Amino acid sequence: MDQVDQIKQGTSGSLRVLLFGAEATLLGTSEISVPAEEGIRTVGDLRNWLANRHGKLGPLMNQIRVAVNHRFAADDTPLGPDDEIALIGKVSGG
Amino acid sequence: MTVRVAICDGPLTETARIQTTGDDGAVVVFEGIVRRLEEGRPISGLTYEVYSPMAENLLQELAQSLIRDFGVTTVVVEHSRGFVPVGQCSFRLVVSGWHRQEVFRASQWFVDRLKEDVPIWKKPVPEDTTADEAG
Repeated sequence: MDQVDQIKQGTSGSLRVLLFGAEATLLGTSEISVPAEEGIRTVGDLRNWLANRHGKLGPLMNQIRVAVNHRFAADDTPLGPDDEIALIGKVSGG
Repeated sequence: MTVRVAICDGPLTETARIQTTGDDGAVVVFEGIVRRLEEGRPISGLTYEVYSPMAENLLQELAQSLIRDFGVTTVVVEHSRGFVPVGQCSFRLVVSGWHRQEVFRASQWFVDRLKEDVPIWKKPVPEDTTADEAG
């Protein structure tokens, strides 16, 4: 089982969120775990939770998009423990 | 119609070759090169982080859009992952089509979208850092 598979599965219904670039540097980690008891059901819930729980992300939240299973997702997209969730901040390829 | 997308470790060294159809009258090759200065500070290179497979999927979708919406015939996309020293190529786009107008337009549109949407991040490596230290 590779790292991404482990991240996707999570544990006990928790959500695992992948971080990259400036967001990963800011929080000092490439992954956040959101406990099931936080009651996160949608992308919008996750965004609110992140803004409250990880205040450092606050100034960046308006430029962070959420990808679910490798696609950009709207705020009403439902989330589950089997989803691969990633925060996509300002990109800089090319 | 040909679309080819690749993420490659390190700098892109070999020039992409494409087989034109005989109907094509224009080929544009764009290469992104790592500059010595990043936000005014000297660097030894850039380290690229790529979120796979989302990056590859999006590059593929953008390339398909060029075929569908701009009428070009061939799109080849290559992007580096990992460390790319100053002066070397980290991104290459090759587009061919019947006429220069749609090929230039398509190329410009692709690069704009890449810089807006594709989950790839560059991290400057200070000038006194070696490639091994840069990872």
